[in-house]
Amino acid sequence: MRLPSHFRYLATGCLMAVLALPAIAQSTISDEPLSERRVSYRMDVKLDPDSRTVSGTQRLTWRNPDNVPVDELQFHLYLNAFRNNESTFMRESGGMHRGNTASADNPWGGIEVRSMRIADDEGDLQPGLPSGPDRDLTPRMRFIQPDDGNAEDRTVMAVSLPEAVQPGETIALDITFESRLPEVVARTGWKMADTGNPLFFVAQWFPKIAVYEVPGQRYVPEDAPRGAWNAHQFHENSEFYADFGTYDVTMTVPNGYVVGASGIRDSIVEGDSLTTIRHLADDVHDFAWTASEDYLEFEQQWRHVTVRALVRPAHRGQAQRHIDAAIVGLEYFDKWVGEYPYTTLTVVDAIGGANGMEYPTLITAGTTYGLPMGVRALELVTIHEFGHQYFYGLLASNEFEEAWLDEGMNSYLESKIVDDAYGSGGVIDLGPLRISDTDFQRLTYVKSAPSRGALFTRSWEYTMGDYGKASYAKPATVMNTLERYWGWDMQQRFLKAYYDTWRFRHPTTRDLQDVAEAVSGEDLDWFFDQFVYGTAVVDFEVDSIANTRLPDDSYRSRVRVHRRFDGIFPVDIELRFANDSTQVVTWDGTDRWKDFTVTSGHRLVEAYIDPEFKVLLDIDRLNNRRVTEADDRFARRAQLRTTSLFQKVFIILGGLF
Amino acid sequence: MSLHYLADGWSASIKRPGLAGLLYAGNLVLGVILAIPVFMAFSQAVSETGFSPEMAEEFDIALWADMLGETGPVLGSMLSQLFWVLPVLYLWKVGSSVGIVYALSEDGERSFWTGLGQFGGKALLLGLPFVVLGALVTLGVVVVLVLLSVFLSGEVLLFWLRLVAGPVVLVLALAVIDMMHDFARLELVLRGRGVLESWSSGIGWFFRSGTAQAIYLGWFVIGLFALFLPFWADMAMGGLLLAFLLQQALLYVRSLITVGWLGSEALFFQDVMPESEPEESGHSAEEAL
Repeated sequence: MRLPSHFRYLATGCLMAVLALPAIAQSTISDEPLSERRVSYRMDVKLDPDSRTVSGTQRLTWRNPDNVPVDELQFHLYLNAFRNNESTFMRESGGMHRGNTASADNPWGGIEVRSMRIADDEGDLQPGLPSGPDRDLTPRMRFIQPDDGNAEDRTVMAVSLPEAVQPGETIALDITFESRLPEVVARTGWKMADTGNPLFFVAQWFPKIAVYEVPGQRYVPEDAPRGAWNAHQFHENSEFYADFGTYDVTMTVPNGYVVGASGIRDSIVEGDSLTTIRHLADDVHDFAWTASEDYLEFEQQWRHVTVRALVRPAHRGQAQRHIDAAIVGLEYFDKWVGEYPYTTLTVVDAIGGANGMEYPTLITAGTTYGLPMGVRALELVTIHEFGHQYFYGLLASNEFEEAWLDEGMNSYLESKIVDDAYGSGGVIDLGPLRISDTDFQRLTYVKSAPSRGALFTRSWEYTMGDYGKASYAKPATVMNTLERYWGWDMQQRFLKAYYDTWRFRHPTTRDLQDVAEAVSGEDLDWFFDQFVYGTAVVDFEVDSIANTRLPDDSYRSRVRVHRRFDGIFPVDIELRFANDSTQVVTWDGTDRWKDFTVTSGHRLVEAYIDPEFKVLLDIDRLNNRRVTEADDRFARRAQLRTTSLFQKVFIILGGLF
Repeated sequence: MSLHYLADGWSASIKRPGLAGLLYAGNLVLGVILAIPVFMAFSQAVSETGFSPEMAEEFDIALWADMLGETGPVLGSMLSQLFWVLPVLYLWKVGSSVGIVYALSEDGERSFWTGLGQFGGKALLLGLPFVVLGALVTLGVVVVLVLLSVFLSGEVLLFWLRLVAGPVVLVLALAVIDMMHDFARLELVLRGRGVLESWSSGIGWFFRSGTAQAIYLGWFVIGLFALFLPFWADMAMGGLLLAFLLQQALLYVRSLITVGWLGSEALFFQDVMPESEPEESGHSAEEAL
């Protein structure tokens, strides 16, 4: 007997629903919440490639963490940084970011919150329902500029509430919005690939509630009567800051688009012309996604983590390099810092300014066709961006105010991982030219105005181009120096303690120092005051060696050492005598000039400050050592090589004459 | 047929090793002079630091960066030496080439210095248009590459265009010009033609003789390989004295190849060049040959 049509449709629908349901899958390794989950986002959005917009609805819930009522909400509208030339971001950057500029006729973007209302319940989204004045928040939205007063900047929005949210209570909002994606200059937007297809990287794209810091949290005094919103404008040099929560995002894209997104894929339903994909991400503080017809998908499993790479066709041959580097990151961070708590990691080969960026469980790398194996730019950026899953993702410091806590700490771990995984040629490994990541980081700092740019600086307050050095290379060198100061075992304990104490929270520089001091039992003010909060520069020099022969044929030898700048660091000085015996003396580095006098049966022939090169912060290593007898071996060899090089060049040039 | 010219040219070269020796010595002297500031600067920066042995043995980027910070100005001044080195190199290349061609022509026993003295001045004038032509061709190739990069798209295509096809085309174009110059020189020395006539005839040789092309290409490939060997020795062995000495031996062999190259072309030219001009034009039969 043929079933009535409505039964057939019902059966088909049930079957499709069942097929759409995944096996039971979690976005984290825990059945229980791992974070405070102060916010939740449920979004249903659609990408329109022709208009380059993402529009839809958002159900946002936020719980008041304070002990007092909160009568105003603040939101980040980051995409408005690309609205026109007058935003704070555009004024500060001149339209360029990391060397990328827009080239399209209309590169602009922006986000428009069309409506915001207090939801009636926690159930289905109901953004279209009319609301009374006590629930319609749309007229109450206003833009604020807490950092620079630039009235044209619309990246922070405040919404006053008709009724305050009581302590511990949750407010639910229904929001409709449209995000116009800019041409990619800084991280987010669209870009035409050389295949002729657009690539969309959708980041910082939805109305995101800011962080409300309660008394005792971060820099809000314990005895403050109430907490405060921490919502900075989007600056050229700033990144982001948000609370942990849950994300349930449904994305609709045209058929044929491959989508990568934060979290796990819950369902994918393909219709006649559109495909709807739902992703879930728990215990994260951001959600990004990407879509392109060009992506090639590759997948590999590492323990509990599904590693997925989305690679553009020109870079197909490097797909495995993406995955291998991601797995290197997973292995080392798991071993040295703590367990990766998520079940997915997506590595995206994006375009231009969208590359080299991090989002919870989704990172962008960046490579170029023909990249030699000995040039590990791809591995370096992948490991670095993966590391941000920890420094920023789990250890969710405020990237506006303390960029070094994520960029610098991560650069430090990146340098260690790259050098350990790939050897002394971690960055460049081409025949005799081998450059390690640690060396690379150190040189980027010491050879670039080392006296400028303290680590502890709000990101938009760096001047003269010091943000990059002071947020990445210098803190990496600072942490490498700390490690060499007290040993890798202590450093490991420090890193793991920091992770265990502060994961899924918002640590500060002070918190990091507290952990370091608790683990080591040492007061580290001398270190942090100079090299984190201050701009002390370390440069030790052996000024001179003098030997005086004594009547009994022994020698009184004097070594004069010099501290050339304001950075003080305890160091060993190795003294070598004519019979090749050595003696080590310790210098606390406090005196500008210091003489060390020793009496020995042999002449002192060499003095070497910091022979084990523990103090990577020392900006000039060449002057750390002095010998009494000049040795021209190096100069001679250099001369011979230069001579033969010129001879070869002259033969080549002779072909032109 | 071109193979026997290659073999004969090589034979002529090793029969007169002093010619290669002159080329080699000229390059060596210039190289030594230019490398003196390197020794002075590096000695001053490093010799009393105690790092000299380590830096001699292996590359340490931290120490190199510190050293270059001190020696940068001195090394930078070396670049300014190109202002006198390049003209000297041009003079030497042009002069030595005519001397070698003259020396290897006829019975192969003529005097290098006679050839240099007799034809050196005209050869300098003859060479200049080829230098200009080479510069123009280089500029042209670069401009074409830039334009193609603007109008073409595709990362893979642009990679092969910019990093492979473009450089290969440039090298081949410069090789063609060099070949034209070689035969223009032969017109000057072996046929006694004037500068302008030699220049225009030289241009034509590329288009009219496949054997000439084959001879040039044969020596080009051999010369390229022979030049690669000292680069390899340097990369493999570093700054050891042994590596330097090995490179000197290889560079002398490369000079022998240059002499053989010019000798092959001279021998071929003598075999195929037309009869000399009548005596009333002022050119003797001997001079024409």
